[in-house]
Amino acid sequence: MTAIRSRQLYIGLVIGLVLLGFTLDQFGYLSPLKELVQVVLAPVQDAVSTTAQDIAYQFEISADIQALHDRNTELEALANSLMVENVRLADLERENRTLRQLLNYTRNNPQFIYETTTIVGRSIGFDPSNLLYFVYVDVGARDGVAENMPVITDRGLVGRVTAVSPNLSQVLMLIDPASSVNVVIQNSRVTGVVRGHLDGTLTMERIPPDETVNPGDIVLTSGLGGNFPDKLVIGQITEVIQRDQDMFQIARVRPTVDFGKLETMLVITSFEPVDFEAELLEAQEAGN
Amino acid sequence: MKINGVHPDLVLILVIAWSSLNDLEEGLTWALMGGLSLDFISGAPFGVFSLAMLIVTLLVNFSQGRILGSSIVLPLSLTFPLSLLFNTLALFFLYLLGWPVAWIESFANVLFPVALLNSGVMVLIYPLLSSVNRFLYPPHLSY
Repeated sequence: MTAIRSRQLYIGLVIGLVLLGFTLDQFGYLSPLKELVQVVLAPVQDAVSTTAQDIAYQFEISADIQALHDRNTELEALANSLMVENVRLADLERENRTLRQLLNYTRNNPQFIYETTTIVGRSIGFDPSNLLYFVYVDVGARDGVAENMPVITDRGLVGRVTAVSPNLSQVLMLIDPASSVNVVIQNSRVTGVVRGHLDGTLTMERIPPDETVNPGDIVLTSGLGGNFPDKLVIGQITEVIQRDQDMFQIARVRPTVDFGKLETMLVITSFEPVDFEAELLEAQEAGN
Repeated sequence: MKINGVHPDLVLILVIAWSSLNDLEEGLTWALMGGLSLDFISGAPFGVFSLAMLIVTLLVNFSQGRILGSSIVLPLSLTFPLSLLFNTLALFFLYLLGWPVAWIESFANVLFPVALLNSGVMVLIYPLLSSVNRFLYPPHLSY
């Protein structure tokens, strides 16, 4: 009983103190005490507050770091995909430009039927030797390509097909020493033969000595001999060599085609080269 | 990789280096494989490069023990003349088969520069192949 009574007394006392404090505060009598308590407790409060803020900040940073890490990962992934996209777009732009040039060429030269082709791969696309200039293209007999068909780019003549498999063709480039093309100079109509050399250069030979050839003249195929169609651009004269002891003049020709950077080419599938030897043989046999 | 219009004959360099590190049988095997691979890939008539490669390998084997120093001196001293010989032989075979060849131009503009380039590349290739060879065929120690 005594315990119960003392507990009730304690509760009543606490409630009474609270009500007293409330009443004193309402009349402003508690302010000095409050200020005193605040002055005493301020440093403690500050320390506790700062520590709490630090702890909260650390939690916040930790959360931010995680968020930044996630964001960084996202941005890296985005940058990578954009880089890939950029490369793809640049490639498409280049391809688009090449195809537009080829389209312009085919529009300007509607007399031919063209088969568009690309080189399989540069590293295996060219002859591995320093002694030969062949390039391999990824179209073959299945695409209608046959031996001796001319191969061109929008810049001019590349060469002719020398071997064909179902899906692959071997092209002998103009700059190979085994290549020779009958040509004509665009303005003066002077004829000659363009030959390749082992160092990758071209010369125009068999130029009659009395003809005038000047640097800057444009060299085109003449169509003579029946191996190539006429009016295909080969290059530009850079130097004319005329020696007294030679029967003909020789001129150096700078090819318009960059033979080291061949990517997309056209095979003129409509052109049928004339095999003069076979025709002469036939004519002789018919005569006999 | 083209330097001044020519590129190194990588297959030839590898065959010379490997032949100088090993015996005749091994050298000839790799010469045949290298030569055939060139013949298959190239537009040249079949056999031109294989034959030239075999001759070069025989000369490498013949030179073993006859040139001072048996390590890097042999392949380095041989690369220039053998590159020249290899391309001259290939060009000669092409000439025999009816290909037009301007000999002086070819030597000046292609064969000599290629031989020089091959010699330079051999300096880089040989130590690498030598290490590979030591790994594959560790020397036997005898006491």
